[in-house]
Amino acid sequence: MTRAPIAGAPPLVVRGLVRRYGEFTAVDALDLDVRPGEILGFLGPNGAGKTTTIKCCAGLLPAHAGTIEIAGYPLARHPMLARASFGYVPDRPFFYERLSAREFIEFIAALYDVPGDVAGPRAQELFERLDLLDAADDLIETYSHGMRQKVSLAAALIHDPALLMLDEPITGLDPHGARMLKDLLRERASRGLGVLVSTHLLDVAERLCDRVVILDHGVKRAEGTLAELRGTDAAATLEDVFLALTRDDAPEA
Amino acid sequence: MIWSGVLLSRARLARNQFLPRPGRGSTTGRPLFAATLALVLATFVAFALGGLFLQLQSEGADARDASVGLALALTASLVGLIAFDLHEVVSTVVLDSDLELLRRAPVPAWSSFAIKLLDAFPRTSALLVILAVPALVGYAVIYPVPAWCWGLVPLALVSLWAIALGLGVAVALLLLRVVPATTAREVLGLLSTFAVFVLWIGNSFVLPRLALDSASPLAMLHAIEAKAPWGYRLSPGTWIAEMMGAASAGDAAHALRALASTLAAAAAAVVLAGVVAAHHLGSVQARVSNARGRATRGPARAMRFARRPGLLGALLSRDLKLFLRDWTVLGDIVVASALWTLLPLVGAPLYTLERALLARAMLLSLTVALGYEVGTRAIPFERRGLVWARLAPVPAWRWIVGRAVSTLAVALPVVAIAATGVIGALGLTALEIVTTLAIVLPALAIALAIGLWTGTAHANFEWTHPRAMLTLTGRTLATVLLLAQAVGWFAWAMYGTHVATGLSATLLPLALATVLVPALLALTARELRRRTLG
Repeated sequence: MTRAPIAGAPPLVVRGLVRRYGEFTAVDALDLDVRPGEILGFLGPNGAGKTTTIKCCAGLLPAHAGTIEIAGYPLARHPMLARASFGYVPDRPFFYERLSAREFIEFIAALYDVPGDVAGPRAQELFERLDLLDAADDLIETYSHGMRQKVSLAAALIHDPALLMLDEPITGLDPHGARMLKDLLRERASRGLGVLVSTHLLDVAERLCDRVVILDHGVKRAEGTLAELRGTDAAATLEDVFLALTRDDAPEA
Repeated sequence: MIWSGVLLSRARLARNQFLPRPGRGSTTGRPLFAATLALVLATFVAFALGGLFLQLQSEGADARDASVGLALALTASLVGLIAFDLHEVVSTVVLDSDLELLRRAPVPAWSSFAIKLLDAFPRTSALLVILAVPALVGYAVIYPVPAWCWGLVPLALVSLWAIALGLGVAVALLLLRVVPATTAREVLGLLSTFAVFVLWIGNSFVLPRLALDSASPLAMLHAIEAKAPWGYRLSPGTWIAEMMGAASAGDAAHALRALASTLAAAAAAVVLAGVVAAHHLGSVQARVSNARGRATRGPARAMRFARRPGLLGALLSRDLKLFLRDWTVLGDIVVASALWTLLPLVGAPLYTLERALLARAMLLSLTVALGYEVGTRAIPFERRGLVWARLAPVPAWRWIVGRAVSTLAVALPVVAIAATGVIGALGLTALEIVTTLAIVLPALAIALAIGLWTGTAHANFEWTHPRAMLTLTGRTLATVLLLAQAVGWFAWAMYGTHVATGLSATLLPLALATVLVPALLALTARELRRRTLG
C-alpha cells in the first residue's frame, strides 16, 4: 500500500458534505479545504456541526452525501490510503486504559505499519517535547486530562500524517502544554502539511490559524483569513465577526 | 428540592433510555428487540412454571402447598438480583456521570442516594420482568387470586427489589470504605463472580440429587423446603409466595400479614442503605473516582519499539497485557471455565454416560461456553480503544481475524488444561482422544466465531462488571446461542459415539467449522464496519 500522499494534493477537500441524525441535519452541503502548509480554524457555536464534520472526515461517521478526499485519496473509495494520511485528536481520546503510554504508542505505530526504527525515535522526540517521558511507563488510566490529550496527540502524529485534525485540543492543557501544541502545529504547517483545528477559543484561532471557517447550524457562514472576514471594519476582532455571523438573525452566507 | 420535578426528569431519562427518539446516536429498533426478547422469555417462563403448577394441582396440591414452588422462583429472583444486578446499582450510586452535579446541588445525601436508586430501578428490573412476574402469573392462572391481591403485587415486587439491592448497596458501600480504592471495582466484580460460583455449585449438585430422590414434583418441592437453610422460611420470596397462597385460599388477613413482613423488610433494607449512604457515600464516591494514582518511577527509558511487529503480533501483545492486568476478567474466566467443565457431572445421578461420551460432554460444555466467556467479550473488552479499528488503515476483516486469533490464544490453553485433566481422569484411549478432539476443536472455533459476532453486534462499551460486557439483549441472545450449540454438539457427540463412528463422521465437524468460521468472521467484520464508533 502506498502511504505517501499524492504529490501536490491538498491535505483535505470536502465537497457537499451532508450528515443527518434522523430528521435533524447536522451538516448541510459543506465545502471545506485545508491547503498544504495551512492551519485552518474551524469555528462555530455549540452544536454547529464541527465535531460531526471532523468525525465524517475521520471515517467515524458515514456521510449521507458529498465527498471527502484526504491527501488526494477519496475516503469512500480508498479508505485505507486515506486513513493512513491523517491523524485525529478527538475531544475525548480513544485509549486502552490499561496500557502504558509507551505500549499504546507502540501499538498505534504497528497499526500504521511504522517500522520500529522510525517509530521509536519519533516517539522519543514527541514524548520529550510533550513532557511525557517520565510518565511513559505509567498506565494511561492514571493520567490527568491534559496528559491524555498529549498522548492522543502523540498517537495522531506517530505516522507523520499529511493532515492533522484536532477537536478542541487546547482544552485541559496547561499554558506550557498549550504553547507547545501551538508551536508543534505551526512547525507542521511550515513543512507543508495541513492542520484542521476545531476550537471555541477565538483568541487562539485568531493567533494560530491562517484561515478560519465559521459553521453555524451545519452551514458554512464564512471562510477566509481574518482580514477577509473583517471586510471594511479593520478594527473588528474575530470575536466580533463570529458573534455577528452566528446571531440567530444573521444573514445566510 | 422539588421532588415532582426530580421524578419527572428521572421518568424522562428512563423513557429516553428505552424509547430513544430519532436523533444523534439513537439506536432505534434495539430497545424494541430487547423488549420483545424479554416478553418472549417471560412468556416461556410463565408457561413453564404454569405447567409445573398445573402438575402440582393434578397431584392434589392446594394453593398453599403449590406456593412452595412460587417461593423458590421468587427466591431465585432475589438471589439473581444480588448476584447479577448489584454491580449495576453500585455503579449507578458510585460512578454515574451526574454524581458530581448531585453532590454540588443543595440536596441532602439521602435524597441524592434515593434519586440514584430510582435511576437504577429500570436497569435492574429485568429479573423481575423475566422471572418474578411470570412466576406470579403462572401461579395465579392455576390458583386464581382475588382482584385485590393483584393490587398488592406491585408493592411486593418493588419490595423484593429493594430488599436485595438495598442490603447489597449497604454492604457494598461498607466494603468500598475499607478495600483499597484502586481495587474497589475489581473486588465488587470478583465478589459477584464468587457468589455465582457458590450458588452454582450448591444448586447444581444438590437439586439433581433431590430430584432423583423424589417421586413427584410435589415431593421434590417438600424435600427442597425441608433441606433449605433456616433463614429460607423468613425470606421475602417465601413471604410473597405466602401472600399469594393465602389470597388464593381466601385468607386475606394472612396475605396482608405476609405482605406487611415484606414491606417492613424492604423499608428496613432501604433505611439501612440510606443511613450507610448518608455517612459514607460521599467518601466512597471520592475514593472510587480518584482511585488511580500514578507511581513514581526512576529515569525514563529510551523509546525502542519492535522492528516490525505486524498487526497480529501487535494485537496479541496488546491483548495479553490488557488481559493479565484485568484480573476481574481473568478470575471470571477461570471460575467460569471450571464451572462449565463440571456441568455434565451435575447430572451424573440422573443418567449414566460412558467414559468417552462424558469426556466429550465435559469438553464440549467448556468449548461452547468459551465462545460466551471469551469470544463475546473480545470486542467490548477493547472499550473506546476499538475506535482505532476505524481510524487506522486496517481493514475490518483483518482486525476481526486478529481478534479471533487472540481469543483462540486465550481459549486454547484453557481447553488444553481441561482436556488433559479430563482425558487423564477418565483414561481415554488414543482413538477416543483423537475422536474427542475432532469434535471439540471445531466446536471451539465455531463457538468463538459466534461469540465474536454476538460481542461485536451487542457490545456494551461502558461495562463496569465483567459479566455485563454485552447489553441485556446481547447476553440473552448469547445465552440462547450457547444453549443451541450445546444441544447440537451433545446430540452430535452421542450420534458419533453410538451410531456413526466412521472417518467421514469424525471429520464432519472439521468440515463444518471450515465453512462456518470464515462466514461468521466475515459477518462480524461487516458488523464492525456498520457499528457507530467514537
